[in-house]
Amino acid sequence: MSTTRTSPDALLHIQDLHAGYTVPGRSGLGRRRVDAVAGVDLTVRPGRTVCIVGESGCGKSTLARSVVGLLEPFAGSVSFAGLDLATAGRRERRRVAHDLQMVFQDPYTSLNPRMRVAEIVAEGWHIHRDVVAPAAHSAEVARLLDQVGLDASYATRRLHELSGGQCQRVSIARALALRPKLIVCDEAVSALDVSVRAQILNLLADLQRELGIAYLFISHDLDVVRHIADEVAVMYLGTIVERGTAAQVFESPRHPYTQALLKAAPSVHDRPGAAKDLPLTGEVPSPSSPPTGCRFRTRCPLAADICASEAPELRVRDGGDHPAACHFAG
Amino acid sequence: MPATTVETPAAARMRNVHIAFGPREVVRGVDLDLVPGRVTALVGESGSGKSLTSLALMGLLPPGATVSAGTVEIEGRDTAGFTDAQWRRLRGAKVAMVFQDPMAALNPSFTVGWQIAETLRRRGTGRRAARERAVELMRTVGIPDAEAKYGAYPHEFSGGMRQRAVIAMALTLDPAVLLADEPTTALDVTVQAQILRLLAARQTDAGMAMLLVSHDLGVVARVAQDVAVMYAGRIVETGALDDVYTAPAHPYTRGLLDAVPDPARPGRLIPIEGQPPAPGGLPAGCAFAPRCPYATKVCGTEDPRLAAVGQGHEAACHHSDKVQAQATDVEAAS
Repeated sequence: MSTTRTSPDALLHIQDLHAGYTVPGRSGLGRRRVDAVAGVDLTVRPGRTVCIVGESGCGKSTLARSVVGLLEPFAGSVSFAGLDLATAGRRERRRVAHDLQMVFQDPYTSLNPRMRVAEIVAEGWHIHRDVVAPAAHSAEVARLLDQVGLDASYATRRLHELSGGQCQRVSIARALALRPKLIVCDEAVSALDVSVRAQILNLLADLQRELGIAYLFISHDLDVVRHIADEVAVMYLGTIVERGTAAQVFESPRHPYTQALLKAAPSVHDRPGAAKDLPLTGEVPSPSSPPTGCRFRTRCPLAADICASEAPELRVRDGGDHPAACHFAG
Repeated sequence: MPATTVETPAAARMRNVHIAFGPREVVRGVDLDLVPGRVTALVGESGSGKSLTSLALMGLLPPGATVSAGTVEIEGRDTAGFTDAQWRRLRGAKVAMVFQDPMAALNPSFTVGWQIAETLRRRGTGRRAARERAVELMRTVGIPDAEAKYGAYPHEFSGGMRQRAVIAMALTLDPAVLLADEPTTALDVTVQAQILRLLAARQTDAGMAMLLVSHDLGVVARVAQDVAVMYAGRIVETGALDDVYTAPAHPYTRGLLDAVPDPARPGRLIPIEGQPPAPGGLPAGCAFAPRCPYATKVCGTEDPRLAAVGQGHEAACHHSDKVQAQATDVEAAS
């Protein structure tokens, strides 16, 4: 078996991952790689919640898609429970596939509207036949629906009869059906109303406590991330610029991008007129032609000559307690 | 809010407005005063009727929806029975709107500058003057290199720049009322902060009345002075933002504020249980009663109306005193 042995306590281990898409070459010949994810290292331990925050174009969704195998990476490795997914054969992949599930942002486009709720939840069992015996399917569907807070009577309904929050519960029941060890949630609560979002976040927390599931939770919503994260990785233009525990990142951010992001995020404690500093101007550059050196330097209030010539490493600097990729993070 | 109208006449005023799709009422009696120089936020979740309420101020209700009762006044003129031509004269000049999705608000086949200038040309401004004014507007909304960007198409703009262009279009004719329906929902956090700052600055400079429609309580807190909370087609609480946020008197407002994750309150979130009622399937009595932790027998039979709970602060709840008392307990305890 082709495996990359990593630290034994890691469930998901990502090493120097490069992934993205290709565009026609500059002269119109061939294809050129665009690395939406440009060298990311990340580890998720069992039963933990790791959040990735960043704005659109930072590569967080590309990262999620590479992890669950929806996108083949250009380079680097993604290993799950010790198995390198890039080099593993189909059969090996399938063996771990049910341990690794995903919940998408929009349940209406990620679930089949022609299927009944019970069929949606049970679909994975037709591929992973050893998870639940066929005779037990309907009882297990009822149990899963109950677990995500839906009445068993919903089993025979179709999605158009359900609200957005109920649909997202079905997505979660479907992911749970294969008894995963890790669920990748890509903006899983972003489309929901505030009151329903709180219901789903509580549900995810309950499931983690009861079943020991780990989450790789991708979100642009800092309030949500701060609430659920054990660890946080901040992404900007394909790279992780800062990483640490939720308390480290939110209470003592070291990277100027993280600091700006936290200041920009609206809060119910804000008031008009008492506008906070707005150090960031401009928008995220295109990943097809990232700036040289530090990728954040074009928007950075601290940028100096060194930033254009040398890409800062993600490491702990003097005076810091967690890694940040900035020459001036010390 | 009605209290403030005594001094300043409202730029736009709604009285007991009902909006219905045929027999189904989705907005059920809304009073709203938009006062020059102030930002009023209309807050609510999807289906609460907040967007329809703002569209009624533009005469832009979707097909099938009508103002079935009540009055909508713009600068003192009742708009009941307005013809399409009358509405067209009003739109842009008196009331302008910034929509959620700037790509949908811009025509992809024309340059951004041309679209901003078009509003002026249609009102008789000469080509050259319209162009100059459009470039100037693009500059005021912070589009860098406005002269060169005049001839750029919407697809050449980023999301934030497109929304700036849409704001420039809305400001072209110095409207008395600016409606902004989820103006930053499609934007990233850092860009959202830029756009909110821009909207607030333009609104203050021009002394416009502004209605900000949003589901995001944080966005609202950043720009609005007054807030009206909608639930199931009604305003259930209204007042100065600071009063409503710090001493909510309606259990729904309180529930919304509690449901937002807050580092000051770690642990389990407090969601509002259940779902909002479907229009046409409203319960008897208070529409919020089935989800309300304070509900008693009276809530199932008697529909509460807005009543004063403080200076310029109103709530439609039989138990607003209890809700407020508990809110202050929590504040004191924390």
